[in-house]
Amino acid sequence: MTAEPAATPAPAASEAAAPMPAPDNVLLTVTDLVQRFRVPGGVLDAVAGVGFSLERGRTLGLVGESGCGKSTLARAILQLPGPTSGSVVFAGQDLTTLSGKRLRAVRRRIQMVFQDPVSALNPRRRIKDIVAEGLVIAGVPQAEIGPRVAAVLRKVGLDPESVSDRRPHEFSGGQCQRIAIARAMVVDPDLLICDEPVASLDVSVQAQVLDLLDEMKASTGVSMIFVAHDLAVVRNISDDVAVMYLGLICEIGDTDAVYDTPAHPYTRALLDAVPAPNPQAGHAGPALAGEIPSPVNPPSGCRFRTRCPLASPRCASEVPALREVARGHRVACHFPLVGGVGGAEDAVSGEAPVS
Amino acid sequence: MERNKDAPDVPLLDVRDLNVHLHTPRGVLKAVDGVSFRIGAGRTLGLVGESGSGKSMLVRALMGISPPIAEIAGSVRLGGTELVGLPRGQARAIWGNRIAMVFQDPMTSLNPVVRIERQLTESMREHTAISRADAKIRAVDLLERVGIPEPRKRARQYPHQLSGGMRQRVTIAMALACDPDLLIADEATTALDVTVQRQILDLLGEIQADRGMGMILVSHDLGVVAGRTDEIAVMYAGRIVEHAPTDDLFAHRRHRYTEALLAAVPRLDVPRSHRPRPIPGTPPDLVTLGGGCAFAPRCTAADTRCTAEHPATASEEGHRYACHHPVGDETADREPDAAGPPDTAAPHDSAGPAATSTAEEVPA
Amino acid sequence: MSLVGTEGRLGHTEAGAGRPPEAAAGNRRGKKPAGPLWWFACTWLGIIALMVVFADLLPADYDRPVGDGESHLPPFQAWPEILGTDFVGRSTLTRIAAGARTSVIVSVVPVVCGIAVGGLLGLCAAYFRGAVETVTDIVADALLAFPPLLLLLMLATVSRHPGVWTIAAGLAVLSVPGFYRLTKANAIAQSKREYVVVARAMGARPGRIMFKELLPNTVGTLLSYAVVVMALMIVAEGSLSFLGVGIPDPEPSWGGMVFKEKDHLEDHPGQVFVPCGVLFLTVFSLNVIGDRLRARFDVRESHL
Repeated sequence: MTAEPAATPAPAASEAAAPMPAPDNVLLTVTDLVQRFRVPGGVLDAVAGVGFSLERGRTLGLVGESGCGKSTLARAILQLPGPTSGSVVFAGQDLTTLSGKRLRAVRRRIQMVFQDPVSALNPRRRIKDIVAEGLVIAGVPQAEIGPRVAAVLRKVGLDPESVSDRRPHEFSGGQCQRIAIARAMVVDPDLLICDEPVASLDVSVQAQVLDLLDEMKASTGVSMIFVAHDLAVVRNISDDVAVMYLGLICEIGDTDAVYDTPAHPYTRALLDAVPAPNPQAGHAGPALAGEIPSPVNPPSGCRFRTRCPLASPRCASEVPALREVARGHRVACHFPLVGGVGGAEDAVSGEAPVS
Repeated sequence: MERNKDAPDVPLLDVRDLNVHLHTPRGVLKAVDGVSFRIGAGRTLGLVGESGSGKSMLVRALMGISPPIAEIAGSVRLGGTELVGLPRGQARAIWGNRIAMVFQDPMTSLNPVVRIERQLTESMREHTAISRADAKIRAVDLLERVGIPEPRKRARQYPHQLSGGMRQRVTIAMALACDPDLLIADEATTALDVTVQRQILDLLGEIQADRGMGMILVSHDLGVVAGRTDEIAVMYAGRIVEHAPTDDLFAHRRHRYTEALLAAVPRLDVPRSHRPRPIPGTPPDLVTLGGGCAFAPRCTAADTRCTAEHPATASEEGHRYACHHPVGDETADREPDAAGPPDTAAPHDSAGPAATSTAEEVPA
Repeated sequence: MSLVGTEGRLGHTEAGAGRPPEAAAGNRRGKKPAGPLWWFACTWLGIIALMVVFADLLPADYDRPVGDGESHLPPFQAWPEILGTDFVGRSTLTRIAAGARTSVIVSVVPVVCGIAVGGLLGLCAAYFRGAVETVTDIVADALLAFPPLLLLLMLATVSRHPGVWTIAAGLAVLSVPGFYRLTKANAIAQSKREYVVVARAMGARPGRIMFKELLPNTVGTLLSYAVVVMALMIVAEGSLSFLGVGIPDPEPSWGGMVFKEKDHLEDHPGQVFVPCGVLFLTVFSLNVIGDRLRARFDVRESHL
C-alpha cells in the first residue's frame, strides 16, 4: 500500500532551508551502512553492512533478536551517532555528509519514538512544552504553537485541557507513549522511526498505541521504520519487513511474503519459536540450538551457519549476498527455502529498492 | 498429561483466601484480594495477568519476599505445612528448599562478584548437610542438567561472562539445587530472545517431568502459558477472574477479561486482516477499588449490575470464573467476535518441512 | 502509592500501564511527614535571618564596650545584654547578630559562585565530552589539589583589606570543583536518558539542550548539595577564625569569638558556649534541610 504523501502545511520561513525532496517515490536509501565500535575484546560491527530503500508512505519493520543491530541501525540513520561508513540518503541528501546547521534542519523531518515512554519525556517539563519542543526549535511563530499542540494532542486521544499543564509522572505508560507520538508528529515529519515503542507496555495498551500509529500513517502518510523484537506486532503494522541477525539483513521483503513463506532458515526458526496463544498449536520444527555468537568474533562466511540446520562447507567460506528470490523478496542465503540455490557468481550487496 | 495418576490427598500447594494488602501513604492497596487455588504434584499452573494484576505479589507472598509494608492474611499450605505466620527460622528452611523461584532478570538474581559455583553451592550447604566437595560436584552436575556446555569451566566463571540465556539456565540450576517440590518461574523468559525463550521453556518442562515437581508459570504472555500448563488462572486487579484447565480456557473462555485479552494480543496464527482489538481504558487503581466487578469500566458487556455487585465465583466442571455476563451467555448485545481465534487452530504453515498439526507433546 | 511505585521497585517489566492518571495528580510519593527536627531547623534559620536583617537595630554596637565597660557579664543576667558581654565589654548578642552577617556572606557567596561557575562548566563538560571535558577536568582537579588552608592564608596575606570578602572569595574558588563534579556526573547520567536524544534528534542547539533538558534535572541535587556546602563554609570560616587567621577584630565572627574567649574558658564559659552553640545550631539546621532536600529529590529520581 502506497499512501499519497499528505500535503505538508506551508513551512515557516526558517524551515524552508532544506532543498526540495527527490522527485521519485523513494524517501530513504541506506547503502553499505557499517557501525563499528571499539570494545575491550577488539572491534565490534554492530551493523556490518546494511542496505535498503524505503518508499514514501510505507512502513518497514526491522526485526531481530538481541545483538542483531536493529536499534543501532535506527540510530545510525538518525546520525546519533553517525555510522562509521556507508551512506544514508534522505530526500536527496546524504545525511552522513551533513553537519551542524544543515543536519539540524533535516533532522526535523525525521522523528523518533522510543521504547521507554517515561524516560523519553523530560520529567521536569510540562506536557505542552514537551510536545511543543519541535515547533519551538523549528522557529514556528508563538501564536501558531498553542493550537498545533492542542490539535495533535487531540489526535492522539488526549484532552489538551486536562493534560497540557501536567507532568509526565502523572500519566500511565500508554499515555506517555501517546504524548511521545504527539511530540513526534506535531512537526509533520516525513519519516517516523519507532524503536520498540510498545515493548514496555501492557498487552491491552499495546493494541491502543499500535492503532494510534496506524491512524497516524493513514491520516498523514508518514513513512515509518518500526524496530521491534516481537514478530506478531511488526507483522500488523509493516508493509515490508527486514530480518536482521548479527548486524546483517538476512531477509527482506513484503510482509506477507516473509511471514508466509520465509526464505531464510533463521526467519523460519524465529517465526516458529513464537508461542501461539493456542494450546493445540505446538511448534512446527525443532528449537534452534545454541546461542547467538559474540558479535566481536562473528562466524566466517554466513553468520548464521553455527546454528543453521542447513549449513554446509560453502556457508563457512562464502558470505551470502542479498539476492532476489521472488518479486520484492530478497534473502542472503546459499540455500534459501524459496527460490533456487545461489550460484557462485552472486555479487555482494545488490541494493535494488524493496518494492 | 497423566502425571497425576496417584494424586496425593493433600495437594502440593493449597492457597485459601490469600490477601496481600500494602499499607501505603495513600491508603490500603489490595494487591492480592481473596485468592484461592490448588496445585497438585507434577502439575503446572499458569498465572496470567498484566501489570497491577497482582500475580507477582502473589508469588512473592508464597516465597516470603513481600515488601515490608505488606500485610499477609489467609492460608498457604505447602504439603500440609502452613506458611502464613510461620516463624522466620522455620520459614527459611522451606524457602529455597522446598519452594524455589526463578526470576525475570538473571543479572540481578545472580551476584555479579561471586563465581557461579559458589552461588550454587551456597544454597545447597544452607539447606542440607552436604560437604563442600560434594556440593561442587553436584553443582557441575546441575549445570550440565540445565544444558550449559563445558559445565566445569563455566562453574568457575562469573555471571557477566555468560550470555543472558545461559545466566537464566544458571538461575534455574540454583533453584533446583535443593530439589524443590514446587518451582515458581516469575516471568522467567520475558527478558530473553524468543528463540532462547523456547529453549528455556522446553528445559523447564523436561525438568518438571523428570522430577515430578509442581510448577507455577507466571507470565503476561498467553502464548507462553498456552502450550505448557495444565491449568491457567487469569488475574485482574488482585483477584483470580477465571481459572480452568488450559484447553478449556482457550476453547471456552468465560470471563470477559480473558476474552478481551485474547482479542488484544497480536498473533501470528491468524490472518493479517485480524487486527488485535485494544481494551479501552486503563487498569484500575487498587487503592480506590469500589464494590462491583473491577473490570466493569472497561468491559463491553457491563451493565449497572456489574458496577454495583461483585460477581460470585461460578464453577462448571473445574472451570471457575466470576462474571455476571460470561461469554457464551447471550444476555448482552455483542458484535460477532472478529478477532478471536478459531477453537482448533492448526499452526500457521510455513514453507519448510511439512508443518504438521500434531502438537509437539510439551511435557507440562 | 501507585502500582508502579510498588511493582516497579520489585523489578516488574510492564512499566506504567497501571498508573492511574487522575489519582496521581500532585501525588508526592515517599514524602515523610515533616518532623519536629525540620521545624526546629526552619525556625532556627528564621531567627538567624532576622538577626541578619535587624542586627543594626540592636541598641548596643558590636565594636564598642557597652555602658561602663563591664566585661565578662554572664548570659541571661541583664537586658539588653541578654547574652552577656565579652572580654572587653562588648555585647555578645549584638556580636552574634553581626556575626550572622559574616556567616551568611561566607556561606552564600561561595555557593552562588560555585553553582554559577562549576555548574556551567559541568554542563558543558557533560554535553560536549571529549576535549572540553578533559580541559575542565584538569582545571577542576588543579583547584582541588591546591591546599585550601594555604590558599586562604595566601589571600589573606596578599590582599590589602583582609576581611570577610577575602575569605568568601577564597572559599568560592575552592567550592567550584565540587559543584563542577556533581553537575557533570548528574548531567552525564541525564544525557543518556532518551529525552535528551530526542532533543538532539529534533535539531535542538547544544545550548538549548543544556539549559532546557539537562539543567532542570540537575538543579535538585545541586540545591541539596549547596545547602550542605553552606554549612561547611560556615564551619570553615569558624575554624579559620578560631585559628586566628580569619576575620580580624573588631569584625565579629562566631569562630573569632570562640578564639578570643577560649583563654577564659574556665572562668567565663558562657562566652565560649554561646558562639559555639550558635555555630552548632546553624550548621545542624542547614544539614537537616539539606538532607531532606536530598531525600526529596532522590525519591523523585527513583520513580522516573
